[in-house]
Amino acid sequence: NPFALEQQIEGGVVMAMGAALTEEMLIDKATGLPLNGNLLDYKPLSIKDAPLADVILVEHPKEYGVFGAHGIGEPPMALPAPAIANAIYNALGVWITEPPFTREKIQAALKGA
Amino acid sequence: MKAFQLHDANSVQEAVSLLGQLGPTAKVLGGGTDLVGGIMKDWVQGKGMPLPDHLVDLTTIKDLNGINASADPITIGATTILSEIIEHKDLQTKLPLLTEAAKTIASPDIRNMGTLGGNINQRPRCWFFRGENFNCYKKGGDFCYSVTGDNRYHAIIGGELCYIVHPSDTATALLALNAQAKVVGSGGEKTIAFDDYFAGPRVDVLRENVLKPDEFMTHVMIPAPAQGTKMAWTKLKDRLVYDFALVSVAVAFTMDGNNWKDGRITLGGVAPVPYRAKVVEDALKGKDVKATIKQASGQIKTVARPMSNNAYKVDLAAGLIERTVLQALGS
Repeated sequence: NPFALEQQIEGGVVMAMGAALTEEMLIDKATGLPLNGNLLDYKPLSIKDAPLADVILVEHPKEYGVFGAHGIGEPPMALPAPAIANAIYNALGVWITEPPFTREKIQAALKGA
Repeated sequence: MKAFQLHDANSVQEAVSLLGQLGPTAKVLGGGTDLVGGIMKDWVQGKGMPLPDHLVDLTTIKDLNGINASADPITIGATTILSEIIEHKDLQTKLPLLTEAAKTIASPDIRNMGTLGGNINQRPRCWFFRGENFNCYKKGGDFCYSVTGDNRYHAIIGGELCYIVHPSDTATALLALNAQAKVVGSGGEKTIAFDDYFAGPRVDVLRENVLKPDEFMTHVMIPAPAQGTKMAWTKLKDRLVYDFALVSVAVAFTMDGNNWKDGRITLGGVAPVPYRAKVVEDALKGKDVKATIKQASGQIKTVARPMSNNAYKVDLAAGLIERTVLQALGS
């Protein structure tokens, strides 16, 4: 089902970008209580932040498994964070290795570099 | 949510007398987007901040809703819906700073329900204040968790005892426009300049403004800006929509040739009250704006006292002030 396939990829890209850029579950170190247990302070990408993903499907059946089928729910999650980290290096010359790539981390890296 | 009684007020006098009768657990209601949908839903309460048992609906009072943009001062009723302010053609022309600031509030859904008065008088977003299990000073407790905890979104200027940042975009913009608030209560009616309306934590940690428990804002008055006033608004956020400001800047000023003549630069998201950056204004007075702005906006670093996690805001503030003033010149 190519439509569902593209949607899975688009959704995975948005989720992973959120994890790379703005999402972080914060815990108060003194009490262990969550600080941002709501969707305002825990920040998934908003509709204006989420990009329109251009999905290009390259069909290559697996050599093993049922009908050569691949799973697609998880793989799109792997790529956006490294891609963004590489882009930051390309733009600024610093490596940020811990997502989310927040302003504080970029500032600290630029000052340290 | 705790059960409460809703009272529809039909006039300002009725609202005042209801508040007097019902006592300190009665609160006025505008759009309810934060009072009901935030504070009451999330059980934000403490010894000094009881959850309201009664809500007095001000949106049923006709006098409090409306925009008079042809008067001087321009007058906006406190229960005017934010979307109406944004879409009002005369306001867009005369007070673009206010309409631009209002455009960056939350999301369209919230702007369609929220009122100007509600936005100006809203409670802060500090996650310790909003957290059920943190009994902080602002709720009548005996501790501020942000000093030793995660304070990345807290104040870099003016925090003392309590380190919240003022959440309201319209309050920041209106302070730059030198607005005044009309307030009524059991003691009668009075006019308070926005310069004097907001209260820091040392004045009263339980409130962010000078309103007494039986008082409420009825109108906001803005003097018609002088001919040629340059205005601009910027709001830096983590995401493009919904978020409250990390740092926001409102500027409204007049020029004398290329030089800064008179005006205000206000910042949101940096202090417990909308912060007027006098140190930057003073550095610009009488000087060529384009040539001096970088050095002048750097002056904000001299008044900032960052906490353990929020030093990044200082650089953001300096850069954003410069960007906003230059943006105003471009217009």
